[in-house]
Amino acid sequence: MEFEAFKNTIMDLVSKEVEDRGLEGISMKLTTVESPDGMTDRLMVSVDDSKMSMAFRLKEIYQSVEDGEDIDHAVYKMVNTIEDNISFVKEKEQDVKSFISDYEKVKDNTYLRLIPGDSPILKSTPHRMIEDMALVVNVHLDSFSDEHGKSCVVVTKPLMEMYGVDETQLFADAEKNSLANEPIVFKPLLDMVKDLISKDEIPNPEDVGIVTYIATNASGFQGAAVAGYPDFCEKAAEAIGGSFYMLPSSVHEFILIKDDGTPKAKDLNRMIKNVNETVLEPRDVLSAQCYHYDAKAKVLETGLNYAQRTQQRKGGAR
Amino acid sequence: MESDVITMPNPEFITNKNNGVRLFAYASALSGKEGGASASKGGSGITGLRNELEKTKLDV
Repeated sequence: MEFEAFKNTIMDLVSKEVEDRGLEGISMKLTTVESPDGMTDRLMVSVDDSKMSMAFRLKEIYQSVEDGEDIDHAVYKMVNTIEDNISFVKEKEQDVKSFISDYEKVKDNTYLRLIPGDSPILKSTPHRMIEDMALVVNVHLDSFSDEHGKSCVVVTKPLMEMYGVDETQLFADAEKNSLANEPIVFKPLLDMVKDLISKDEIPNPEDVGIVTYIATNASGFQGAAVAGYPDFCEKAAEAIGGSFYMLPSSVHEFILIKDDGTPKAKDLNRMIKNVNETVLEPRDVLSAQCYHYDAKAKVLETGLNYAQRTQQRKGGAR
Repeated sequence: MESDVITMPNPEFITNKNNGVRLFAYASALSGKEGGASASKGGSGITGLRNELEKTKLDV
């Protein structure tokens, strides 16, 4: 089934299931939403006249069905989510509204977040570019998060104006909270994988002479933001022992590879593209290219720029 | 009302649930365990990884 047809089919099936279960006050519509990871097709589900809605990502559900999940099972899970959250939406809307609209309440809960630099939200969001990625400010709604994940809101320009703070203050507060509560963590890649996967044999890049570290934050949640912390590159160079490549493995972390002098950018970019396409959820993708930090010159740039620059230097030296 | 749009943004619910899988993918690719070539030697080593990952999706 084509995606366009799927969207209407799934909405019809969800509507029918909602009706069969006798859930009242539910309305839904298909829409496209500007999200940090791009334009996303959503099924928006509202309860009575609440302004807060549940927004299902239809591409992910479509992909799951294409990969073999029974569509009735997908619908069953969606309506379970709706049923579980009806009272939450009705009861918590005012709490969310009163929290998110008051900077005095929000300011200790803002954090830096790194998102793709071509995100559609950037035109209306205060941001700072790091190469082709963008640093934005995220509000964590800890009271509305659980062990499965966190509820967040990106601070847009209208929201910032409502807070009555300027961009400098907004980023300064988010940086302060990030440094205090989500400090940088450097950890060898192998150790990190061992912590996450119980498997007897885990491939170790060091066996082929590649020194790899993970750079993330203390919680590992949206940890790629550490690239926007003060002196991140200098600290990373110290941890890994010199110049390095940075692979944007996801919005949650970077993989650092010590630069052994062998040109790598094209191969690394191919690898990143493959992993992005075969393993990552679209919402976790940060970028499709590697970066390089020259510890001596103190320059961070894309891996391809670095390759071009060193190539030119070699050409000029002949 | 415009102010409702401003003051009532829909919170996003974000998870970090398959970090083991993607880091395993990179560890495999970088060490050349899949595809038989390391990144530094001109190959991504990611080919065929999908099947391997199916066995290791313990954290998904």
